[in-house]
Amino acid sequence: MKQTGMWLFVLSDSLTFAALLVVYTVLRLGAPQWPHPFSFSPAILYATGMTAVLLTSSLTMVWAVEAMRAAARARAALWMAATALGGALFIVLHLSEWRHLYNADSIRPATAFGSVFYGITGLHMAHVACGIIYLLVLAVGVSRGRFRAEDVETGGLFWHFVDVVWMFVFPVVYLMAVRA
Amino acid sequence: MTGPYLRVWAALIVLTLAEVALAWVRLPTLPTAVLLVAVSLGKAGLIAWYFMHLKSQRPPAIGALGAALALFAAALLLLLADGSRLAALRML
Repeated sequence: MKQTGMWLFVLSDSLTFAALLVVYTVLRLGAPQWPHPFSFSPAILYATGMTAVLLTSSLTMVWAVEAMRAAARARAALWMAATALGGALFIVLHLSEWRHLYNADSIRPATAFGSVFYGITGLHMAHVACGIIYLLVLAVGVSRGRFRAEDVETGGLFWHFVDVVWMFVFPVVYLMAVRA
Repeated sequence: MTGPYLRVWAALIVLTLAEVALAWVRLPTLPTAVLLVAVSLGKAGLIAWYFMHLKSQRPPAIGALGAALALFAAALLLLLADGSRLAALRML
C-alpha cells in the first residue's frame, strides 16, 4: 500500500518536472538567441561527475533494499547512510557549481535561461535534500529495529525517482547548452 | 543479487558517457536532441525496470508509467520539431 502511494506521488511529481522541462524547451525555441554557458571542460565534465555520484547512490540504495529483504538490518542501514552521503556529495558539488557560475557571471538568475536553470536544478536539489533526510530517518530507524522491508523499498522508490529526473535534466539543460 | 545491479549501474555510466560524447561531437541541434532524449529514456527505463523493481510490478502499473514516459517524450519531440520549423522560417 505504501509503495502504491509512493508510485502515485512519483507519477504526479514527474509531471511537475516534465512541465518545467517543457517550459525550458518552449523558452529556448522562442528565444532568438539562447546562451550556451557550459564549456566542455570543466563544466560538462563536472556535471558528468555529479551524474556518476547520483547513479552510484542509486546502486547503494538498491543494495540497502536487498539487505533489508535478507533481514540484514545493520547492512541495510549502512547502505542507506552511504546513499545519503552520495546525495550530500551531489548537493555540495551542485552548490559549488552554482557559486562558480554565478560568480563568473555565466548564468544570472534574472534571465530566461537563468530562471529555468536555477528553477529546475534547484527543485531537483530540494528533492535530493528531502531524500537525504528521508533515508537518514529510515537508516536510524532500521538500525534500532524499526521499519519493515517495504518501508525501505518505498524510500528507495523516491530516491531512484530523483535519479530518473536527473537523467533528463542533465542532457536537456546541460548537454544541449554546451559552448561552441 | 549484487551482480545484476552492478551491470545495470555500469550500463548507466556507459550511456552517460555516450551522451557526453554526443554533446562533444556537436551534431545539428535536432538530431542531438532526439538522440539525447532517446538515450535518457533508455536510462530512465533501466532505473525504473531494475532499481525500482518495475519488472516485478503488475502490468497496469507498468502500462501507466510507460504511457506517461511516452507522452513526455512525444511532447518534447513535437516541440523540438516545431522549433526547428520556426528556426527555418526565421531564416527566410
